[in-house]
Amino acid sequence: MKKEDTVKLISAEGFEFVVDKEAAMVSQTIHNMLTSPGSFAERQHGEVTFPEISTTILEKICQYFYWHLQFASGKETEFPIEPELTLELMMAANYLHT
Amino acid sequence: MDMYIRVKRSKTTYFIRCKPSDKILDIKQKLQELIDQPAINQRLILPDTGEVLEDSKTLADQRVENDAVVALTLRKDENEFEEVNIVRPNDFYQARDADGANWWYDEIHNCSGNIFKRLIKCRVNDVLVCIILNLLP
Repeated sequence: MKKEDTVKLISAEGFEFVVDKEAAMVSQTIHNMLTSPGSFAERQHGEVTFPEISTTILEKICQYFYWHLQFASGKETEFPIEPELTLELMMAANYLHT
Repeated sequence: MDMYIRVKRSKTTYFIRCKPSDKILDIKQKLQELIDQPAINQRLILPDTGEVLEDSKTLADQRVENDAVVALTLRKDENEFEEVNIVRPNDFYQARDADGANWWYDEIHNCSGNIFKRLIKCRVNDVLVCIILNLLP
């Protein structure tokens, strides 16, 4: 795995999550950021900051990306979500088109 | 992909795709690409037990499973590595207490219609029913 095949997602509190681009593109919003022609800073630097997504939520979203890839390849498990995360997670999922 | 692990150091988490049969050295070599530190300068540790993971053993040998958290420490000098340092976020969810009920009440009234309906499902039924509707691929 090479650095250029990854993207760094940064939460509101400045925590960094380095994930495979393939995983991050489960989000249509991130997919658009990373693939649009033109000079999105996100594409040039391989970093995306989410000032409105908290660290705990962003980590759960990254876990979901990988779960999604596993599920798509036939590993059918349940994705665990703590009830207290539900509301914020739905709002973030809506923003990320995930 | 078979599985992934979360490798954490300070405020950074690296999601590493791997297989249970991968050796610890394989993981370090993947990390080397990301952090520009050779495998010999890396030490991987199970944060709960403090157990240092051995290069020649596999993830399965050392009972590292899908989605596990592993701490990364880097070499300071010839004889010494950093201490484990994983910064915990102190966003709302970690600090939550008895105000939870009020929090729910306030949030419900701030929701847009769509999310409101989804949230009602969440509270009336098992949370997974709601989540599955929204997040399944």
